[in-house]
Amino acid sequence: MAQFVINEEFLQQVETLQVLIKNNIAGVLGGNHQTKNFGSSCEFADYRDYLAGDDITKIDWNAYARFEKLYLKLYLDERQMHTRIYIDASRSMDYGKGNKADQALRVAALLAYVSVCEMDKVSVYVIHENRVEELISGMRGKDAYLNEIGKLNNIVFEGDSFISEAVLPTSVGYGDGLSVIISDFLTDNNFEDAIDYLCGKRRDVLCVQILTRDEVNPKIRGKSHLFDSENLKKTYRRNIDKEIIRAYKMAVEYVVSRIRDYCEARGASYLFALADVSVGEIFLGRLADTGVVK
Amino acid sequence: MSFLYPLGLLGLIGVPILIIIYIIKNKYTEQTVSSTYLWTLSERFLKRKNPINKLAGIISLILQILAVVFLSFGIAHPVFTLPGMANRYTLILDCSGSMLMQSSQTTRFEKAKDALVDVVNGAVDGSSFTFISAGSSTIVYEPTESKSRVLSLIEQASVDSVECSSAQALGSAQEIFSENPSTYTYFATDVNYEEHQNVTILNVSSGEVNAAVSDVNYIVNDTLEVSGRAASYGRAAKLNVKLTVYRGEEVLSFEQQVDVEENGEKLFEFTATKSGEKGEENIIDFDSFVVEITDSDDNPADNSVTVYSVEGENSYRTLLVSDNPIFIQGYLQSTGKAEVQVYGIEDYQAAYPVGGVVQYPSGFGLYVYEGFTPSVLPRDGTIWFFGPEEVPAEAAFSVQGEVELEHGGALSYSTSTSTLVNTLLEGVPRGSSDGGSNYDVHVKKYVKCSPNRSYTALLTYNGAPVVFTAQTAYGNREVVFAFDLVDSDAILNPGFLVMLNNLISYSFPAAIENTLYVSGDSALVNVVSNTESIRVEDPDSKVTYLDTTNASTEFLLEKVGVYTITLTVGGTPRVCRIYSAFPKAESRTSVTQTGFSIVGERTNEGYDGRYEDLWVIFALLAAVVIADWMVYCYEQYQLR
Repeated sequence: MAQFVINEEFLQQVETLQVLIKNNIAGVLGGNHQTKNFGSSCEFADYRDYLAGDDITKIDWNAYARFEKLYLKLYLDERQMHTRIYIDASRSMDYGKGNKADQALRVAALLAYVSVCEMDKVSVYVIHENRVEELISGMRGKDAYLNEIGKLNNIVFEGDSFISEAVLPTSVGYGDGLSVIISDFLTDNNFEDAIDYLCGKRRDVLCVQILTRDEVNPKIRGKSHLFDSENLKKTYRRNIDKEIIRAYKMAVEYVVSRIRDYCEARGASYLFALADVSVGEIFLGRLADTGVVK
Repeated sequence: MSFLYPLGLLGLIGVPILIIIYIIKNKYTEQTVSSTYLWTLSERFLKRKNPINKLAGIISLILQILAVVFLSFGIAHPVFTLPGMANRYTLILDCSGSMLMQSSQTTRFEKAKDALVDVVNGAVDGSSFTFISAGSSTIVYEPTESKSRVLSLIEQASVDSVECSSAQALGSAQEIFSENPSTYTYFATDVNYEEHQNVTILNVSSGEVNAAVSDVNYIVNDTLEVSGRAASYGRAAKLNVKLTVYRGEEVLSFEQQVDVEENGEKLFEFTATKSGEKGEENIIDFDSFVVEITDSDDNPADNSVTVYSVEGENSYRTLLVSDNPIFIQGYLQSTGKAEVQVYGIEDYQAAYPVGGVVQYPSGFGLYVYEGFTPSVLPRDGTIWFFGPEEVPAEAAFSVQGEVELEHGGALSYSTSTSTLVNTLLEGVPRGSSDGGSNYDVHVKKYVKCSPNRSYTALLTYNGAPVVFTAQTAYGNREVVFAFDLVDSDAILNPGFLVMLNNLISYSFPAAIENTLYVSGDSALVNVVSNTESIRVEDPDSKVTYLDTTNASTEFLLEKVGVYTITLTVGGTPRVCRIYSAFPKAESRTSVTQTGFSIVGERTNEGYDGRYEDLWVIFALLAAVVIADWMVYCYEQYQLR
């Protein structure tokens, strides 16, 4: 990995981007803005029918007088959100041209900054093999951000990663914010359970899939013996012709659509990013497309 | 099957080597990618397995093994035996002049060659071929089993533009057949044979049309008259006959149309005159003339005949040394033969001074010394002396002094009956009608000469030779007039003038006596004295040299056109030209003969042939190499 991906120059870009996008942040980023969860703030949100067991102090008696039916007044919750960012630190993220690891760090840093600006807590986790390592814990405020975000540069990308096996045993909070998983998702290993788990914890989930251009449109031709960077025992030996390239592109499409569809089915967000595309383009263009940024 | 070069099979060692290399060498390009997940996953989306991909690894190996095998076999040169399939062939090629006739830009001769080549190529390898060329002479080549050898012989055969008979060739074929009755005889010719047996006629005539000019003759009476015959074969025609006469810079043309029936001939005549200031003028001399038929046909070789003037071709350069050359110079030039170059005596002495390095003139056919005798004689050409004084030792005589006659004495013509005397005095009138001596030559004084070698006296006075011929020490002819012309009445004497004319012919020995021949004739060349070489260049610019040791030499004319003969005499080249005309009999487009037989009962006794062509192996090798290359390209580049 190139040293110091998160440097001053990048942070200046982040500041600029934050200004551009801060007014477009939806509820998914929590913090001192209203969440889409109903809570105990003073700001009215909606009515709903009274159900047995509900807090009777929340009944709107004026409405009862008019409609002769019990309605409960709902208020927006103003709890501080906790953004948790999981970075896949497998070897495949840091191999070849158009480094995916760099892009992963830039995306993580930007999302963290936006969250910090919204007064959210931010934690960054690194997934190595089948464990989650906390790199930054409960970071609040810009000062803390500037002090700690540089730790991203210390991440070592090596070995394999088992996202579900790593995330499931950890405490991920409950309904208190956004969970971001940044990975290339090029694995047979299970990651769906992790998404289900996070959604089950009523967290907003964003999956960021990062691929290089060579992975989307490979240039390899002819007789080739390919070795997997994460596990050299995994090999692929074929005479790569246009038929195989066609099949490969279908496989790419399949992988992308599989995770995208999976996220959509579970109310999670999905973002596809090429490794050599600037983060500005991702957040002002691609992210808007996904609905994360409006 | 056997092999010409069995060691070539050692190349098969390359097969196991190739396999070992293939096993050892991993031809797959190794590289590490971030993840093989997508590649592995892509297998699920492959519509069908490409068979070439499946076999790609071994297809290339198989092709390379085949290449090694074919190459080894090619080097080893396999020879397959074909039992009883080889035969003996006698191939006769008609090389007569009529084979020059052409249609569709191809001559009969080329068609005949192609027909024989087809026979050779169609024969099984190992067959035996005897090639017979039937031209001006019949050549029977040694039998050979080498196709390339017999094809080369056929290729090298050429047409002899002469009238040829194939009887000798067929006789040779009969001998071969008698020795081995299984022989196949092929005869490529343009002659139609009504019947033939044991021989396959490859007739290459195809209805060509031809016009020919022949029997050209000329005579100069009052003017030049040219005659000849125009013939038309294959069609009746009105032929345009043209006569072109060349006289120095002057070119005169005459034309007439001759109506000729099919396969007939007709006489034509030209009387050559020209329009001059005084009306029609006769043409009594020429350098050459051409008679030609201007209509196009299938054999241009017999459409024209060129005739060179014999006199013109035999002209001589003459050096005349005299302070009073008018009479001799005028006389020599009036003959039309001599190109005279005149030196005054002082100029001559200045050009060839006495003392120091010996100097003498050269390059002339005739040296005339009048009133002057050089101290050194030329080494080439004939020498004439008029009134010799002291003569050098190389001369054939010595001078004893001048004899003055009181009343002018009459000289007596020789009465010898020798051939030379008869030749030199031919046409000389002697005596007179009244029995007197009106034709005698009278001299006032003469030089008494004493020949010291054999000589021939033509005129004598009281037995002393006054005009005689001899030979110099260098072998050149020598004519001595032992008096000055001014001391005689010779120049007024018609007999003397006739004798002088004969002496010019004697002094200018003609190298050629005929300039028009028919191809197939032998041309005669007289070897004039001191001839160093005779070079003959034929119409195809092929040069030969003739023997100069005899008085005359001959050479065979085998081609149609101009032969240039160059005689080098005393270091000076002298060029003559003769024309070899197309033989009349070969101008006919269609000749039918009754037939002929090669006598005997044919048998079918073939012997073992062989098949040894390598082109199949090398074609397979090329195909395999190309296929391997295509597989390689498919693997490397077809994927974009």
